[in-house]
Amino acid sequence: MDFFISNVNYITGENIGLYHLALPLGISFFTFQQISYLVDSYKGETTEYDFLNYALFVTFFPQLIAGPIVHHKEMMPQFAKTRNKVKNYRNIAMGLFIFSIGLFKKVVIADTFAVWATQGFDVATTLNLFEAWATSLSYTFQLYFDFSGYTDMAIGAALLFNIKLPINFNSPYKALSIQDFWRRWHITLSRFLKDYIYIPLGGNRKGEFRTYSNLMATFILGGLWHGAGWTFIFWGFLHGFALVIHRAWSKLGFKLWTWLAWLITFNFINIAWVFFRAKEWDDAVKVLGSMFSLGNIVLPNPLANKLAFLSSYGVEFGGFTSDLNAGKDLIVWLFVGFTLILFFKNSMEKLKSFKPNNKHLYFTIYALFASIIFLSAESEFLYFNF
Amino acid sequence: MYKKFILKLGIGLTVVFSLYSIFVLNFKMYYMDPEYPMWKEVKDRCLMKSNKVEDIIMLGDSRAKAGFKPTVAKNISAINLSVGGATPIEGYYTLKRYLANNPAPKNLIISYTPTHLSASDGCYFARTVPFDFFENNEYKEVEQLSLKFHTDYILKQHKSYLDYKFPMIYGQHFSDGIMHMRWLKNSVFYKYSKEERGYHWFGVKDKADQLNTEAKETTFIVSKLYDYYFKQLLNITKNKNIKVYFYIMPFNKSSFDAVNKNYVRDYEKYITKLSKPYHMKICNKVFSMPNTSFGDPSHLYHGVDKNTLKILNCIDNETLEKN
Repeated sequence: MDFFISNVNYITGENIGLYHLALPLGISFFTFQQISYLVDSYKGETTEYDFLNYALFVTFFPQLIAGPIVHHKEMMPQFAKTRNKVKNYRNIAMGLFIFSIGLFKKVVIADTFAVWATQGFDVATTLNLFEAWATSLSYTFQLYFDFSGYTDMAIGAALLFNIKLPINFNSPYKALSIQDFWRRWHITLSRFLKDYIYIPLGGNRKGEFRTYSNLMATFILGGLWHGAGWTFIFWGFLHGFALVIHRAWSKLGFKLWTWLAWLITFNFINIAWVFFRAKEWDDAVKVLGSMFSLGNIVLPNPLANKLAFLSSYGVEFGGFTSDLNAGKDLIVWLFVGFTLILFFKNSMEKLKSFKPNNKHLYFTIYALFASIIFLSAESEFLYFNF
Repeated sequence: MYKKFILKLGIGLTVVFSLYSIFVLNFKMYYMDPEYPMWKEVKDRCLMKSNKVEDIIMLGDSRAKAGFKPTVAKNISAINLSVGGATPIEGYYTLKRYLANNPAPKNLIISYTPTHLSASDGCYFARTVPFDFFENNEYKEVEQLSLKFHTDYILKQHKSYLDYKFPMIYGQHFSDGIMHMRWLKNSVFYKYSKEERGYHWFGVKDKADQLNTEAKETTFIVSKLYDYYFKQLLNITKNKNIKVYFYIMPFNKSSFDAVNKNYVRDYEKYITKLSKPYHMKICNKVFSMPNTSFGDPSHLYHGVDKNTLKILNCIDNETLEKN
């Protein structure tokens, strides 16, 4: 509402007051679930369900506020199953295991990156080249570990009640194309957008131009779902546009080397997240401008002697991470971030191979211990905002 | 099999958290902030019973800690009981504890920056409480007085010293301690402070051009709580017949040039007002030393010896000549 009013004010020069409405947490998640139920009911695709189970479907706490966005077809039969009302130690053990991974991802990894992302986006007034890239990468990692961590915890908590939630992340930063990314990132959102926006608009059945415009419309709406702001809309536009380019490119039949495909995809995602994270356009411009400006290179002091000749090209030596209030640990954590997203199995793969052995026991104890220790630092889940 | 896994997990977590709790509550030297050893050294020194009458005791904040080096004072017995971030609250209890175990010193020099007499920089819950600097009854007294004076110093944080009896609150300290291997540094810092009779450096740069905290302030408003404790502190010196001085630690040149003159005037006015009823001698006004004397924008480093001699010049010679 406020977004609409502020745009009307901007265009007409009026000064209509904003409402500053307080919205409940996770409104977009439970709204989507009920939209899908209503649409499917209208189409006659829903079975007659018990009201209590329906109420449980819309209020099931593990995934209520940050997803995964569940479909009634996959949830309500589980609620109705008598077998699911019996204590199941296997599910409890698996639930605790996956919950510990999620908590660790959120509290230890995401919250560590959050400090540098916040500093770079919201506090620092200027950034050098390294700091700008470190800021954007910190947010890229923060968002993934935060959101997928929450999903893991939701899946784990649901398993304690014998309820299986759908997979929501499948190593998205390993994607080799933007289409591949959307098959791995927030999978349940992609499924919703496809089933309830893209296909009803005609999908790819009405010719190339309509396919492209449907893709654009779907992703712009997807951007708007994340937040009422032009930066979110632009982020959706960028992704829609990238999908159009990818589709056109694929038709030409060219293939890229795997490493190049990954590099382009990852960098595009990383750059697009800058708009997603920035509170204002100016913040996005500040970070992106510094990421692509060669006039603000600062290298660490210890390199000053060996690379002194670079000074004549405008390169400075000094506190190359000082605007982020960071030390060497930033570099270590960025390395850890890349290692985890590229070379490690994701939590769903780990869950599949779960066995109640000592290796998993020690890992769970460690993950829960480390997370609870880190919990003393206050933070919030990013996707509560959407 | 799965039931056994859950049982083992429960037992494992209980054991790990019990060990953690014992460790964080009893072995703070191994993981705490690098300022912890400096605070502990001051506390230990105050608790150590002795009959020695010190010529000079310095009581203040981090700038006093880094600005007065007792070992520079030849033929004079001096100690520095300042702690980083301290306000008159810490000063009062430090002196009280010192006097409970030691005879009164001949001279007491007090030094607090304007910031540590006005707004809180969060030191109380960042250091005083987690570092176990006070006893429970002292914490209680501070909290009650904070309520009495309606100061937001304690209240705004919605915390109590009792929160720090809960081991989980030390999680961040513990993890930072492990990551930075603080057990190695902390024992070195403690030993250094002890050998230097309470002096410790903060910044160690050769030059500090940046501005200190005061250079960014515009109005000086004294906290009622700090004012109360400052007066209590001065009451002790009056009752024990200790000669008391107030020394303003130097600003670096950059900060001195930038600081708001009204801010400085109000700070000096406050100190002057306090000096008369308590016979506190004011050694100096706000002054500057070159940026090269500072190890960071706030703390002296290379300039400490010179500043120590300036402080000694302020002390009445007759109190020192008897040695």
